[in-house]
Amino acid sequence: MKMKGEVRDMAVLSKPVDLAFEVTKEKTKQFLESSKESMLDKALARASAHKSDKKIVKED
Amino acid sequence: MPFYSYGNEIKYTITDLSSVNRKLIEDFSCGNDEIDKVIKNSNSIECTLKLIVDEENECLIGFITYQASGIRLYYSNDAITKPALQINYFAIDSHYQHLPYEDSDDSRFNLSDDIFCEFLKMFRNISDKYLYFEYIILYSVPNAKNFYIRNCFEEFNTYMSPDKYRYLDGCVPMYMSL
Repeated sequence: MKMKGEVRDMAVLSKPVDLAFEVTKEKTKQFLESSKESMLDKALARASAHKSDKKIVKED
Repeated sequence: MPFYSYGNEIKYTITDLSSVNRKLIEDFSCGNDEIDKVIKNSNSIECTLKLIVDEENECLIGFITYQASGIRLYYSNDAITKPALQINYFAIDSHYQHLPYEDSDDSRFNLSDDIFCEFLKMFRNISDKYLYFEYIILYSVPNAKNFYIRNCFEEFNTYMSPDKYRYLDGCVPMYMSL
């Protein structure tokens, strides 16, 4: 298998931690401000820019 | 096991666990025994499980589990919960790791990025059509933080109460807005 580039993806990328996501009252306004724009759209735009083909993934 | 040079050579399917594909789990190994046990004991998983299957070679590329969750926002005299989808586990078989998506000078986009973005599209569809949520949240293992950052997640630490940090076990809380 060809190895290329500096970025290495990990075997395990995420795992659960028993801790709720809570924003302190001092940071709530800042948090809402930070998430006004869609980060998901940015991620999909990035993916589209990196792919010269437009492979269709089948989903059951 | 299949031999690929690039991720775009692989035709994969995102699918549910079934009696037909259950046998693929036996050969799955992401290099972490704890996580391998999660998928091998899939009957006891208390969240949604999706498999990523290499169609041509009938191999399990990876899996993801997720569930409904939320982000609790505190105000001076009140608090609300913003609906979110929480990714619990996301793991890739060792044979499919470090695989660049295509022959390119830009090496920052791997098969795992492509797969992850397919899930992001799926989550957007779920939120638009079936169950509304505003955020995707997860705890990244320490070494995978850059994977999520390059996929436009941001660290959540800065918004948390500092006394929570000691419970994080090295993992990094991250979020993405829809």
